[in-house]
Amino acid sequence: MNDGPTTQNLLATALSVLREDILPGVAPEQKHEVLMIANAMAIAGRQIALAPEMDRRELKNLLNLLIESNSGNNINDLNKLLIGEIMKLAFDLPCPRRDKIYAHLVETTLGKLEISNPKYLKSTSA
Amino acid sequence: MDEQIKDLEVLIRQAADARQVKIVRFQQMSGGAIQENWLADIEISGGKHDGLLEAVVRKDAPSSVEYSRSRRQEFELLKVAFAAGVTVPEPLWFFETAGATKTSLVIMRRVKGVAAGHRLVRDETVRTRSRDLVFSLGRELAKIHAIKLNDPALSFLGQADKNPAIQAVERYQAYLDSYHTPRPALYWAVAWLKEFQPQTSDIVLCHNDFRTGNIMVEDGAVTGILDWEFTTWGDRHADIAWFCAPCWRFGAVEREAGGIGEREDFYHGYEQQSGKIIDRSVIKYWEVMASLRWAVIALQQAERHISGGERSLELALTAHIVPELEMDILTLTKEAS
Repeated sequence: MNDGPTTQNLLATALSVLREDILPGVAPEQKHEVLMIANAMAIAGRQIALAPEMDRRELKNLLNLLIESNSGNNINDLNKLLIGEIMKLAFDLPCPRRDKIYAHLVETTLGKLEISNPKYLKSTSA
Repeated sequence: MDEQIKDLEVLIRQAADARQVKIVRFQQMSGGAIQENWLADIEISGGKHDGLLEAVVRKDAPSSVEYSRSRRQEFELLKVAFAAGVTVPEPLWFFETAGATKTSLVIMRRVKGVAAGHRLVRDETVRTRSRDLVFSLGRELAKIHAIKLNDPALSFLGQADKNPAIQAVERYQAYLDSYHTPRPALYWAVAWLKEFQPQTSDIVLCHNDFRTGNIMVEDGAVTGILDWEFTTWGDRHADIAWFCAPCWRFGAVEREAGGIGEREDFYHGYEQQSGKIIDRSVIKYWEVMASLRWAVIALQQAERHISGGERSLELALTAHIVPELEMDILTLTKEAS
């Protein structure tokens, strides 16, 4: 049994040391790189915290959306089916099915943004 | 490296018809996932460049994405643009070094200023002069678009696509088809772009990467339009929309012209210089295209890190830009065209 600090705790602690103790003393030409490291660690931390639930939700929504497809539980296979349907959509007339797919894409993308760039969500109130 | 500098001194001495050439400063500049940029201070004795030449040396990086131009072609493009009165760094020499690793080098006069997008959109002087700045950027773009299609110096660009919109969409779709993970939101853009494809094209010389981040600015004024490696024939609206697309505003989303100023001021500069009226109704189409294009490039760049053997944190992080682009696509296409 590994009873040390959790992966998330380790990452968060290392990240705060990097930001608060290291970054202020970094030479200007290396600042960009250190900021990239901090960004990568923050993304990794959010990935660990959020990705499992995000994947579960995406799968559940895909199964709901593609209820008649009987194509198993694999996200990639289901997304391929969804893509097949997207490529046949018409965009110029009202279409409830299209709206449903759109809502699903927005929800999935918002989930990805929570991991990749939560600041974007704040800046655009998307 | 020292040997490379000596080789370069010899090349410049011959090209500049000088008695003596000494590179007194040579250091790598940031930026350039596709090519390397070096800052070079060159002391030249004799010839017409006698004196201290402040230059930039552009060098090929190990690999490239999309279909980027060779250094030689980029040099030719810079010469044509310089002659057409576009504000670009003056192109001086092109060299191809022989030896085990064949390298192409472009030497150009250094221009002062800042190009970094995130700095530019927060710069106080830029903020106070934003109106003039985006107006003049509109004029710069119009000057590029006025370059003649039949200029023999640009014959290497080949023939223009008849319908660049549909050809681009098909290229991006082919990449997404071959990509290991299905990305439904990007296919949403493909399907939307196919449905609303423009009936006619207005073909010009497109810079193809004209955006904040590739524009050098000093004291709130343009000093150089940079990065000509994607330049090709294309629809004029593609360049206009690339500059205004949400993905190139560096967080300053409310300033729709490149995160710098008002969209209409940019359009007016373009219209005044070109004498053409921009068809506002097609710009959204090309902003969706811009978001899809950048998403495909970002996936390609991340792949260079993941499976291409090029370990790079910058390339790795590029993958995390894609969800923003997907969201931009969804927001832009919420209502039909």
